[in-house]
Amino acid sequence: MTARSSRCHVLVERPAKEPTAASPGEIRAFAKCRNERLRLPAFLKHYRDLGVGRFFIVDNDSSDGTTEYLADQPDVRRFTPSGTFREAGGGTEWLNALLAEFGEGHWCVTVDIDELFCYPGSEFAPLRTLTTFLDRHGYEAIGCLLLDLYPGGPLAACSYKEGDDLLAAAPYFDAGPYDRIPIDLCPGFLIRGGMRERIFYPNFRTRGAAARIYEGVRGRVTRRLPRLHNVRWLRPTEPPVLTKVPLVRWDRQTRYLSPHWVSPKPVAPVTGVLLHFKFLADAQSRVAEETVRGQKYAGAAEYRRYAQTLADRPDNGFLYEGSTQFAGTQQLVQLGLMHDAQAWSEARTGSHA
Amino acid sequence: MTRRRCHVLVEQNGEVPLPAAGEVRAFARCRNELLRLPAFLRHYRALGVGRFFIIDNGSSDGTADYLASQRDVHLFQTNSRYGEAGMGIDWVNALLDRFGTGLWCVTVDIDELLLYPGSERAPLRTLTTYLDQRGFEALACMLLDMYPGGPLEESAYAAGSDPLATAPYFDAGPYERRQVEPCPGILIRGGMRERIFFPEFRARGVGARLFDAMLYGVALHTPLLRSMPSVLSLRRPSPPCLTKVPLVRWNETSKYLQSTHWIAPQPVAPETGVLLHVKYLQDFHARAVQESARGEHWDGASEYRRYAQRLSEDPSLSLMYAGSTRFEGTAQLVRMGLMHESADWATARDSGTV
Repeated sequence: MTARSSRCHVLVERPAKEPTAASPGEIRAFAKCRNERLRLPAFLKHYRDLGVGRFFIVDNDSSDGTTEYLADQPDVRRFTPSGTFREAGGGTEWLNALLAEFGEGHWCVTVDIDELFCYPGSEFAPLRTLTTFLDRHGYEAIGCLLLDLYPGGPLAACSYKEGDDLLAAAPYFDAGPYDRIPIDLCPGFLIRGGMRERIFYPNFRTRGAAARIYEGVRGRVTRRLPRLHNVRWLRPTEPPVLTKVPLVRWDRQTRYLSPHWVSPKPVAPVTGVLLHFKFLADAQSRVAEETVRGQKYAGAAEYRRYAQTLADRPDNGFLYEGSTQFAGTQQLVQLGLMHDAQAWSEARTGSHA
Repeated sequence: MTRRRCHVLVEQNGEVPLPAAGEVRAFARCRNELLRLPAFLRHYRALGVGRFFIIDNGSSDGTADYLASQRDVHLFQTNSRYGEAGMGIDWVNALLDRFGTGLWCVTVDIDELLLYPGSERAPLRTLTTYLDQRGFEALACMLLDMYPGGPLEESAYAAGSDPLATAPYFDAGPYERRQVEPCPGILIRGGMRERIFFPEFRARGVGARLFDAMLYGVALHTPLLRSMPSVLSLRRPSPPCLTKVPLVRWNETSKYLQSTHWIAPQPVAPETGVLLHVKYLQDFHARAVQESARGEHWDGASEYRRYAQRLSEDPSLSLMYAGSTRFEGTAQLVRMGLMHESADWATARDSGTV
C-alpha cells in the first residue's frame, strides 16, 4: 500500500521531549530494554562518550527502576509498547518503527543494553570520525562480532555495581575459535563460536557430518519460515549467531530483518566488535526469568539451555586456559576479531593529529 | 474478517493525573477538524467528560495547536498512515488500554455527538452509575446523519456555533436492523446516506436480497470460498453500517474490532443511544474529494468516491426530502424508535435514585 508499510506505529504525546533541534549529523542510538537498571548507566556513558546525541529506547514492562531512570535522562526518549506481544517478533518491529520515524537520514546505532560497540581505534576516534569516513567511501553499514565477556571468577562472586566499568568486572573473552561462514544475508557473514558455544553447546564443534548436513538444511528452511521457529523438535540446538550490524546509515528502505541481519546495503570492510556483558552476577536470575516468560526467540530454547547449564555448574566461572584479558581495540585487531583498514587507519590518525 | 493488528509504541511526555472517582474519559482521532472541534469539546464537557485523549494524524489546519492549548486534552501525534492502522483503531485501542482501563470511556469521531434518553438533563455520570448497578458494560448507538435544510454548499456553519442549528434535519426512516454475530449484535443500515448515495441498494428486488443472503450467510462463511477474489467481488456496494458502540467500561479484554462499529464481547445495555453525525456541512464536498484521493479509509475510501462523484454531478445538492424531520430532542428520538429507553432507566434518572 505504501512504501513505509509497517506493523508497528509510533504515537508521540505533545509537547514532545525535543528540547533542542537535532544537529544535521546527529548520531542516534536505538535500543529496547526490560529491567536493565544495572547496566544502563554504563551503557549511556559508553555511547555518550562515543558521541551519540540522542537515545530512543523502548521500555518494555520494566519494574526495577529502569523507567524512572530513563525518564530523568535529558537525551533519552522513552517509548512503551501497548498490548502484550511476543518479543520475538515485536522487538525487531519496534526498532524498525522507531528507526523509520526518527532515524531516517541519520547514522543509527542499534544495540542491546548489554552491548558496547567498539571499532579499530574507538578509544581515540569518536563515532563522528567513523561515520564521516564511511560516508566518504559510500559505505552504509558496519558488521560486527558479538564478543562475550565474562568475569574471572564464578558468576555469583561478580560484584558489578550500577555505573561501574563493565570491562573491569568482566574483562575476559575467548580469543577463538570462531567460524565465519559467508551467507546471502547482509552483512554477508555468519559468525559462531566463542564462550557461549564452548560452555553451553560443547558438542557442537565436534558434531559429525550427518548432523552438519541436517542442521544446514534445517537452518535454511526455518530461516525462511518463521512459523517453524516454535516447533519443538525443529528448535535450533546450535550456538547463537554472533553477527550483528549495529551501525547503519538509515534510509527509507532500510529494515532490520532480525537482530542479526539488515536489508542489503554496502557494508564497510572495516568491522567492529560488540562487547557483550550478558554474564554478570544477575545472569542466573535473568535466565530463569526469561525461561519462564518464554518470549525470546524459539520459545526461549536458548535460555532454557543456559538455565540448565548454569544450574549444573554453580561454582564454576567461564574461565579456561584460552581466556584472554581485554586490552583494547588494537588487541582485537591483532587477534583477528575485527578488521582494520589502511584507509580508516589514516583517516582516524589524520583527524586525530 | 481478520486483519493484521499492528503494534503501537507510545511516547508519553506529560503526567496523566489519576482519574477522579467515576471520571469518564473520551478518546478520538482526528485530521483537520478545526471547524468542529470547539462544538465537540463543548458537547462532551457538558456531558461530564473529564479528560480527552486525542490522536492527531497529520492535520494541516491548526488542529494540533488548538488541541495543545486545551487543558483537559492529551494530544498524541503520529506520522503513520490511517489505512495501515485499521482506520486508526489500533491507535485508539492502545490509548484506551493505557488510559481507559477500569473507566467508562467514550470513543467517537469529532463529528459524532452522543445522546441517550434524557441526556439533556442526565449527565454521563448518572448513566454510567446506572449501567454499573445493572452490570452492563457497553451502550450501543445508532449513527444518525444530520443535514442542513438547504444545499450543502450554502450551509455556513461557523466554528464554535451549535451544529444542530445549521444541520437540524434527519431521516426518520426507513432503517433496517439485522441480528449479527459481533457485539453489540445488531447491524443498522438506512437513513440519509443510503437514500442519497446508495439508492439502488434500497430498491434492490427480492432476487437480489436472496442472493445477498446466500452470499453473506453461506458463501462468505465457507473457508475456501470466502478468500476467493471472484466470490468477494460479488459483494455489492453497500450503504454504511450505522451501528456504533461509543460508550464502554474498558477492561483488559476490551477491544474495538473495526472502527468503533464492533467490540470484543461485553454485556450491552438494553437502552440505546444515538450519535448525531454532523458531517454534512459546507466542507463535506471538499473532504470527500480529499479523502477519496488519499484512499486511506475503508476499502480504499470507496464510500468517499461515491460521495465525491454524486456531489460533483450536482454541486448544489440538497439532502432534504419529504420525509426529513427536524430534531427536537431525545424524547422525540425515543418516540420515533431511533433510541430505546427502558422504564427502569427513566425512573432511575428522573427520581435521582442512581
